[in-house]
Amino acid sequence: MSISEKISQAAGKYFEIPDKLNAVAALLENEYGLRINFCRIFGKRWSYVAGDRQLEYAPIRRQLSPQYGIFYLESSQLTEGDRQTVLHALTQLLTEIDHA
Amino acid sequence: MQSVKVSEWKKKVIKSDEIEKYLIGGRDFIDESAIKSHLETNPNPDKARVREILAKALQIKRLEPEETAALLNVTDSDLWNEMYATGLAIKRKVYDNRIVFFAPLYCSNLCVNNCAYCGFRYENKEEKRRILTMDEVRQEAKAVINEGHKRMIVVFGEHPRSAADYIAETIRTIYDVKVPVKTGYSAIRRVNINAAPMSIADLKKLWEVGIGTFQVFQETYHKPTYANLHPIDTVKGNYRWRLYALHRAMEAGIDDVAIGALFGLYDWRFEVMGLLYHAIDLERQFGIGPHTISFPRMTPASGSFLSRNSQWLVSDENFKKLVTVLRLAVPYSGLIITARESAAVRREVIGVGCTQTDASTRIGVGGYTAALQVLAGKNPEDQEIDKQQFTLGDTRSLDEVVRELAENGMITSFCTAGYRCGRTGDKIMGLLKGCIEGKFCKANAVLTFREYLDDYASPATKAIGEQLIQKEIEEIKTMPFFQKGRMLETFERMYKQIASGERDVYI
Repeated sequence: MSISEKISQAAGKYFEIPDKLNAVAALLENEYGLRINFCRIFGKRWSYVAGDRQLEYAPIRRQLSPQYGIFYLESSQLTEGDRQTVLHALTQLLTEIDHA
Repeated sequence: MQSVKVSEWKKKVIKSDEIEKYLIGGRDFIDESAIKSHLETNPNPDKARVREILAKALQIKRLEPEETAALLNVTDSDLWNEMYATGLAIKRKVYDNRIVFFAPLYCSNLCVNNCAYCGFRYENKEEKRRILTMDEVRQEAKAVINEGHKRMIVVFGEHPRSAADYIAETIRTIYDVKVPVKTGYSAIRRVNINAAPMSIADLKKLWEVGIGTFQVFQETYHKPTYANLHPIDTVKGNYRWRLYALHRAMEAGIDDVAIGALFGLYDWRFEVMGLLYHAIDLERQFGIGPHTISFPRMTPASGSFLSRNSQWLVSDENFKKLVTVLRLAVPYSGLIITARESAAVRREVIGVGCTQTDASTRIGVGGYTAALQVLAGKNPEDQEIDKQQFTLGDTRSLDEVVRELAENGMITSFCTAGYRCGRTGDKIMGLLKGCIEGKFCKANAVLTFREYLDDYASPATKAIGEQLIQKEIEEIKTMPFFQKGRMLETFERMYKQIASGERDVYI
């Protein structure tokens, strides 16, 4: 199963947005060592929604849809190609959530 | 906004179902008999018990009501000295050595309420009523930014003309103001709001435009006193609508909320207990305690007899005690001391664990612009009592206060990073309780202090500030926390970026 499919499957098991995103965060950390937080964006405010609460330092910030963004810590377990695939899959997921 | 008849508007403000849903067993969380019982059954606690409680607080664990009551009943002055020292130790553990600065901005003194202690109350004919246009909001914001501020608390009276839509427009307007500095521009990066309780639907409007913290003070938690001071036929007369204002904010998504009480309306010990119960109920219902706690002390207000003559006015000594007990009881929350207090009192209570303060403060509606306009003919420090809610005890400039803190080894911070990095709600609560957030506070204090020194500081402040900033950087270099990952490298890179003129870089 591809990374994109795994992300879609993990999110699809849940109904509530924080549950979906927590499931995706757990998948990414457990399988790829990628520690991530999901945030809802309101103007300047990036409000924590889901992800690793113990993640202290997440230097990379990316807005992936009009309403959602992520903070994450790079993982050495992911190749550049895999990382791009993950970001693409997350963008799709968060865009779908935006429109839901 | 369309003209709305005030009497019609008032009838629609309170939504009973948005009170009742938070009651537990039909009761709210202020049980006066329980509070009085805690205060009466924990008299003059012995040293061993007090030290046990202090040890718990030092572990950044929120205290229980009986423990807090015991601290409030300490009579031994040596024990109080231990409590003061522990308060400061907690503050340093959770928030490090920085004091965050903000500027209040009063946008409107129109008010439908009639609170006995407040200059804004509608029966006060001495008050000159005014609501700022968005052009005036921009001018005020520019004046505040030109002092060096990055964070505002914007204040509104309760009135249909200053309701949620006006507040949301104000937030958007302030965020859009950009003032050129030597390199790039400066702006307000966090807009917090102090306004009347509102419905969940209205709170969502504030959420959507990027509110920082939503702040509502209960004024007094003592129900009979509340009823005496807030006429029942006014919106504010509904105690529970106000009591659950921040529960509704949480439900609307605003996960940084701020509580407070106006000290001087009733027994200060009771109010401390009320604030504690408020924190406990927010934790119980949402898992998130208050982001900050405020403890304004009643000062003279225009046309208010009570503000000068209340039997419950708090002495300086007791004020220091109540701040200390709040620091110990809710160790993870920020504590705000404002320019209501004199410089001397502020020095005292910053020394027991306050985390935020204001300076260059104007609390008249349009006060910052007016201060600029009168520079030629009038002392800019004059207060306009007939446009203010209360009087200030400290009208010193931001530069003066920053310098004084630096001389005492404390670094001024204009950090607004947390809420822009997802460190909000239960995430930031965890980081605060785990004493992690303070490390970010320290780094961001240095980064924002560098900006201030380069863009706004007087030569005297810059001189002392340079020494302080070097000391802080050396501490950061030796802290194990910053050895993790590439944190130190990242911090040092960011510092260089700011020193070379880049702005708004944060970690």
